[in-house]
Amino acid sequence: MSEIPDTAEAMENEETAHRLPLGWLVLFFGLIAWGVVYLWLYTPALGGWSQAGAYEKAAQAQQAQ
Amino acid sequence: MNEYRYDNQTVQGFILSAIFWGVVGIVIGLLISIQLWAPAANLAPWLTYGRLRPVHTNGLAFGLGVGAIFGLFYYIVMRLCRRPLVFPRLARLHLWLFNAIIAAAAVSLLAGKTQSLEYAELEWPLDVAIVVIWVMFAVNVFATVIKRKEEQMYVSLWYVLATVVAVAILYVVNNASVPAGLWKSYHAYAGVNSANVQWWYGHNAVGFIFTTPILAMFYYFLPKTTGLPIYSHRLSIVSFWSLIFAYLWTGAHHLVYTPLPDWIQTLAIVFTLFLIAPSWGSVVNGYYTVGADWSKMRTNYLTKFFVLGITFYGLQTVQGPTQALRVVSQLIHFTDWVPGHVHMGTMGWVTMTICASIYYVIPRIHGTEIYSEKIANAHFWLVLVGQLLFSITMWITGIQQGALWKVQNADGSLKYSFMDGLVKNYPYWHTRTLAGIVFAVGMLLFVYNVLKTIQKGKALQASPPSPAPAAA
Ligand code: HEM
Ligand code: HEM
Repeated sequence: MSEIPDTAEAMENEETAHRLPLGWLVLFFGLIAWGVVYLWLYTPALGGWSQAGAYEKAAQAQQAQ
Repeated sequence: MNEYRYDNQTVQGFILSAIFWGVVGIVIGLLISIQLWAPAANLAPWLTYGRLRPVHTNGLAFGLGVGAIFGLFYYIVMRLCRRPLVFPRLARLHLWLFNAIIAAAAVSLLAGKTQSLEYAELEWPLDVAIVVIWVMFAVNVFATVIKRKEEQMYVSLWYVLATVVAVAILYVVNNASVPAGLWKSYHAYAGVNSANVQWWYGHNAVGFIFTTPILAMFYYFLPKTTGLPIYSHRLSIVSFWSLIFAYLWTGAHHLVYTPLPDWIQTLAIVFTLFLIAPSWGSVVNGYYTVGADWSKMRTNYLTKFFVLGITFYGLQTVQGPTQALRVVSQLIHFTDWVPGHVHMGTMGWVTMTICASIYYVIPRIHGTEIYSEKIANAHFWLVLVGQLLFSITMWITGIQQGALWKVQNADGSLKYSFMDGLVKNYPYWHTRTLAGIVFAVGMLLFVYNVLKTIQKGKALQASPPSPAPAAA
């Protein structure tokens, strides 16, 4: 059988080639925004939260009961 | 007549090798799933769960997965570059060495030789051999891309190149070790650093063996089988670069609530959640592509493999990031939930997409049609049911396990013993073996169908029918 090699053009839809769906863009930038907030909140040197600190707090709450 | 003929045989050699190691890996998967509920099935030291589990994971990730990647990448690269491989004989040597290494790897693991790093178990002599064949592979792929006859690079080629480069870096960095004899070595990093490097590698093994190469196949074979062009070039490229950029920062999500510094865990979690966007860029692109003509789901038997494959990829890339959140990790980590996650990806996305790509390639190589669409459809439904049953049972028992481990008595001691939790797993583990059998039967139909197609192709070649065979 003869080979029919591909051209990149035939693999892609011309009309929609430059489209980025709006919902997807919202997801993309939304996750970046969420990431900035989360990074701030859960980095000890920034938001003050720490694994050990959270543990201490939980242990004290249990003891207080 | 055909300048691709020799290379096509190499491609088929890789495909058949991948299938062979796939069968071995799946049979061992069944055995270890039985060993978990029937300890008597640990027959001899080299047939115990501890030895066989890495044979299962390495056999399927590197034998089935990477074997298929080698073969299908050569195939895709030649077609998208519009030329045969630059070094055809090197590729053939690569094929033989690949099989020799996987066989040696299996034997060494059965003998209990291991670096004790998951997915990097193989001891240093094998690592050296693996680096050698990877370089052979890289040289051929890069040379062919550089000397390509098609100027524009379709997105699959980007995924191919990223895979070749990233795996090389990951493998060399995490397998750096200090030998202490022929079959013993120590990781080049100690303590927490060792864990951090290991899971940087471990997660990116998922990223660059079970994700980027499979996306290269998906982006190539979906348009080829359906005749529908990819919906958006820009979306595919933006997704590609953001996926590659984000993936390499996420490994520490395997080490949530460990002595690894808090900021590293947090940074990894941020990048991990971000990964939903580039992952779903490909999912959306796939859906919109088939969305141009949904009737392809009925009229072309392969379309459903790709659509279900990308659907499980979509589910996997939401479930995975969720698992990285501290609040979720503390419940599901160390439980059977994780094998549930793993097998939705490996069975539902990776194996599904690889099988569909092979169904496309094998008849093309021989200028014929698939032996039986009916068998292919039966294969599809069996692996789908097997995988869903496997994943769902593991999710249920995983959550149950995680919840039991946390229950405390009034004095703060744990309410349930290890045995209490274990016994509750048994019904689910039985069901998992059943699910594995259903999946394995489906895969055997696949193997039969492929072998029969090759046989048909050979018969065709021996006695070409008088009118030219219909163009496939
Ligand atoms: C955005 C994509 C993904 C993310 C963020 C992700 C995230 C995760 C996380 C956080 C874990 C660790 C669970 C734990 O032990 O607590 C995990 C485990 C795993 N995932 Fe995913 N996952 C993704 C996609 C996939 C895909 C597509 C596969 C394909 C097969 C896959 C295969 C695995 C495997 C094999 C493990 C087990 C690692 C081990 O040995 O412990 N994941 N994943
Ligand atoms: C009949 C089919 C299969 C069965 C019965 C099976 C069974 C198992 C079992 C019992 C485990 C160990 C789970 C544990 O640690 O508790 C496992 C782990 C694993 N399997 Fe499979 N498996 C099958 C198919 C596959 C396939 C097709 C792939 C890859 C292409 C695969 C990749 C893996 C990986 C990467 C792990 C390690 C997961 C982790 O560390 O969390 N399996 N499998």
